Amino acid sequence: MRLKEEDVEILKGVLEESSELLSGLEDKLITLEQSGSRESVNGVFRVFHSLKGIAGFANLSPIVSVTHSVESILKRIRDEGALIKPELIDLLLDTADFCKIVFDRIAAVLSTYRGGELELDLEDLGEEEIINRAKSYFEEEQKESKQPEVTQSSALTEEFGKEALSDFLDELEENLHAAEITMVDLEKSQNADLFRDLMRYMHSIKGGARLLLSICNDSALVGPVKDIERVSHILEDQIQRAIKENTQMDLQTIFEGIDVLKKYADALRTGSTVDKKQIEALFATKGISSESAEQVEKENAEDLATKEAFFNIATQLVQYAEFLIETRTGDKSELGRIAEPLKAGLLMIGHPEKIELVDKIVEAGESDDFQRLKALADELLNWLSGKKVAAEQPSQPISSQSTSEKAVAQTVRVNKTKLDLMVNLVGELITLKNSLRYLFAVITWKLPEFQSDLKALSMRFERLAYDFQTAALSLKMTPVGELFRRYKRTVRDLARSLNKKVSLFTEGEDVELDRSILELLSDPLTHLVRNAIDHGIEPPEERKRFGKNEEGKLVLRAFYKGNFAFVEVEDDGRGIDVSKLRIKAVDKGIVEQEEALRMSDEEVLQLIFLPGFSTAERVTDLSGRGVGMDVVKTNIESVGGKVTVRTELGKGTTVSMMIPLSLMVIKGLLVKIGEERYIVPTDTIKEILKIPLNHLHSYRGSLFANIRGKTIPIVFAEELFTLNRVELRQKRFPFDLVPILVVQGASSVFGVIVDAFLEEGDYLVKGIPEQARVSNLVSGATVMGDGSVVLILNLEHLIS
Amino acid sequence: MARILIVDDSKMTRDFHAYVLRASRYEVVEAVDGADALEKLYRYPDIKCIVTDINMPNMDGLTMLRKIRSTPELAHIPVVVVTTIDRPEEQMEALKTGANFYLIKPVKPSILVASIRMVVRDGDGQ
Repeated sequence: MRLKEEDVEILKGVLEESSELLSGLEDKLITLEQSGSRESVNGVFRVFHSLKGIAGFANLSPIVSVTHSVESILKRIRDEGALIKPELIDLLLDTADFCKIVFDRIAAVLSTYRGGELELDLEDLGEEEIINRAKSYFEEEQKESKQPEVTQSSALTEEFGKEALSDFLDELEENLHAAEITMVDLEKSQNADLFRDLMRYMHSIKGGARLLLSICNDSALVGPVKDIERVSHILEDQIQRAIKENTQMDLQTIFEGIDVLKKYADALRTGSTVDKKQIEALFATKGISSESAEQVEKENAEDLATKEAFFNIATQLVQYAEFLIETRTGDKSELGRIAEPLKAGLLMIGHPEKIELVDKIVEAGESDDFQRLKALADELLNWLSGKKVAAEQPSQPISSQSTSEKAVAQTVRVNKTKLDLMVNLVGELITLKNSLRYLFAVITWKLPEFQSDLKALSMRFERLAYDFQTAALSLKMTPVGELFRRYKRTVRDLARSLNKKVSLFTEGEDVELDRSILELLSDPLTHLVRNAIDHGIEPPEERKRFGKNEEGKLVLRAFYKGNFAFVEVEDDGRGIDVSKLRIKAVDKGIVEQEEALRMSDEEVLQLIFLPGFSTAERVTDLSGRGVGMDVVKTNIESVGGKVTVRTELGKGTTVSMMIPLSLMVIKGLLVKIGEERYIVPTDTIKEILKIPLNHLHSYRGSLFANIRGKTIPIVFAEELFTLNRVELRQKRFPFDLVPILVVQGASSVFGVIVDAFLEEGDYLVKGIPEQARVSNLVSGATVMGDGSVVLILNLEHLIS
Repeated sequence: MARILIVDDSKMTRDFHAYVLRASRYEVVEAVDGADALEKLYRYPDIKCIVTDINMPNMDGLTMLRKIRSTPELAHIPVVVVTTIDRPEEQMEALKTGANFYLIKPVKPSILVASIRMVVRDGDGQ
C-alpha cells in the first residue's frame, strides 16, 4: 500500500505501541500455559485485542486478521472456560512471532523513509497459515465439546461473523462514499493525488473483503464478498495503471464499478442477491473479463516473483565474485554452484543468451583470472541493473536495509510508573530546594564571610533543579501537532458532506503537552471542529453574499502563555449571536429574564457549555454525534483548565482551551490568612496590592475598593475559611495598608484581603483525596521545607 | 513430486515454509536442527533440495552444510540458506561453505517458490 506522510507518522506510533505490547506478551503466554487462570486468559486476550486495534488503525490487515482469529479462540476460552492445550500456546506464540516479523519489516522500510510517499508491501506474508491453524483449532475445540455448548459456541461465532459483516459494510459504504466524492473532483481535474486517494479506497475495500473472507465461512456471504474483492481489486489495478502510465482515465468504468460495489453493499445489508451478469457485462465492455483479469494478475505476480528470485541469486553471484577478488581466497567451485540456479533462472525469465556470460564468469573464477572475473562480473552487474530498472518491482537492495534497521530505535520505551516516579522525585527536589533557600539565608546571616560563595552555589543549584524539572516534565510531553494532524481528514470529509468549503490551518504544532492531556483533548477538539464546520462556517453562496472568501478558514492553534498552554479552534464563520443566546437561555428557563439582561456577553457565552443548552442549539443532521459542549468544558476543567469563547457576529468564533502546563509544580504566593498559611497560584493572581484603609468602602454590608478609578468587590479571605464574621475595624494592618490579591475570575475582577504576603516560590502540588476535600476553594496541598502542610487555594471559584 | 527438506529450529518458520511449498505441490520433510537434517537425508534419499536456517541449537546450518558438501552421496543436493539481513558476513560465509544461494528472512512465499524452482528443475510439483 502507498502511504502519505501523515500515515507514516501514525505508523511510527503504531510501531512504538506494538513493540511494547509484544514485549510483554511472551511472558503472559508462558503464565497462561502454567496457570491457565481466567486473569491470564484475559491478559493475553487484551494484548491481542489491542494489537488488532492499533493495526486496524494503521490499516495493517495481515496483523488484524491473525490477531482477530486468535482473539476469537481466546474469547471462547474466556467465556466458556475451555481447556488450554499446548497447541494453543504454540499457535499464540507463533502469532506473536508473526506480528513481530511484520512490524520488523515495517520498521526496516520506515527507516529508509525520507519524506514523501512510502510504498509498503504487506502482501504474501503468509498470514493465512496462522488463520487456518486458528480456524482448525477453533473447529477442533467445537467438535470436542459435544455438549449443548456446541450450539452456544456456534451462535457465538455466528454473532461474531455478523459483527464483522456489519463492520465491513460500514467501512465499505464509507469508502464508497469517499470514492464518489473523489470521483466528482476527478471529473473537474484528473490529478494524481486524487487518483491515489481513490486507489486507497479501493485498496481498503479489497483488504476488508479479504479480511472478512478469512474469518467468515458463511457460504451465503463468501460469493458476494469474493465478488466485491474482485471488483475492487480490478478497479484498484486500473487506477494504478493509469497513474503509472500517466494516461487519461476512463472515469465511466470506475463510476460503474462503484455502482456495482454499492449494489453489493445494499444486497448484503438486505440479504438479497445481485445480478452477476451486470458485473460481467461491465468488465466485458472494457475488454477484460473479471475472471481473465484475475488470471493475468496471477501470472503477472508469478512473473515478478521469478524475476525477483532471479535477481537475488544473480546479485549473490556478483557479490561472491567480488568477495573472491577481494580476498583471493575461497573455493572457486562455489561460483559454479551459485551459477547453476542462476542459469536455470535465466531460462525462466527468458534470457538464455546470458548463460554464456555466466559460464565465462565461472571459468574465469576457476582459472584464478581475477581481472577477467572482475570485468565479467561488472558486465553482469550492468546488465542486471539495466534489467532491474526495467523490472516493475526491483528486488530490495540488501545492504541498504541492514544499515538502516538500527536507525529505527530512536525512541526508548520507559515504564510509565518509573517515569511518574522520576517526575515525583524531581518534585521532591524542588521542595528541597525551597527549604535549602531558607537554610542558605540563615547561614548567610550568621556567617557573612561565606555570603558570595553560598549565593553562587545556591543559584547554581536552583538553576540545575529548574532545568532538571523541565527535562523531567518534557519526558511526558508530546507535540500537539500529532493530534492536529488527525483533523485534516475530519475537516475535509465533514466539509464535503455539508457542501461547504473549508481549509484547515494549524499553528504551533510543536507545542508540547502531557500525553494524557493530549488524549483528553481529542474528544473536545473533535466536537469543536464539527461545530465550527457545521454551525460556524457558512455555505459558499452565503459567504459570497457577505463578501467573504467562499472558502471558510478553520484554524487549530496551540501556544504557550505563562504557566498555561492554549489550544484554540477558530473559524471565520457567522459567529454566535449573543442576544439570541440570551433569549434562548430565558426561553429554556435556564436563567431569569432579569438575570439574563444583567449578564455580560462573556457570561452568556458560557451558557453554551451547560448540558441542556448545547443539544438544543444543534439542529442539523450532525447533532447527536460525538460529545456535547458540556463535555468540552468538563474534560478541560478536569485538568484544571478553562474554556472561553470569543465571538464576533459575522466574523467568526474562537473557542480557547486553557490547559495548565505542568500539573506537578506551580509558582505560587505564600500568604497568611488568619493564623494559617496558604498558597495562591501566581497565575490566578492579577495584581498584588497594598491599599490604604480609607480606599475601602462598605456598602450594604459588602466591601468595595476603588482601584485606579475602578470599583471592585472585596472579600475577606478569612471569612471563607473560618466562618467568622470579620470586621475591617478589628483588623490591624501595618501602616494601615491592606494586602489585597486581585483575582481575575471567569468574568469579573475581585479583591481578596489576606493578612500578609509572605513569599513567592515553586511548590510541589500533592492531590487531596476526594473525601478530604472540604471545599472547591482548595485545589491541593504542598509540603513546605519545614515539613508542614499548606493548602493551595483556588480563588477563581470565589465568584460562584 | 519433488521432496524438499526444511531445516529450522523455529516451528513457525518450518510450518510457514512447509505450508508455502506444499501449496505449490512439493513434498516436505522437516528437521529441527543440522543433526536431525542429516538423519532425514539418509532416511529420504530422494530429497531434491534443502532449505535451511543457520543459527540452530545442537548442530548449526554451516556445520551441516560442510558435512553435506564433504559427503559424496549428498554433495550434489542444492542448499538454500535462509538468513537474516543483519548478518552480511554470514551470507558470504554460507556461500563459501557450500550454499547455492541465500534468501532473506522473512521470505515472501512467492519468492521462496520461484527460488526453489531454480534449483529443483526436474520433478517440479506442478
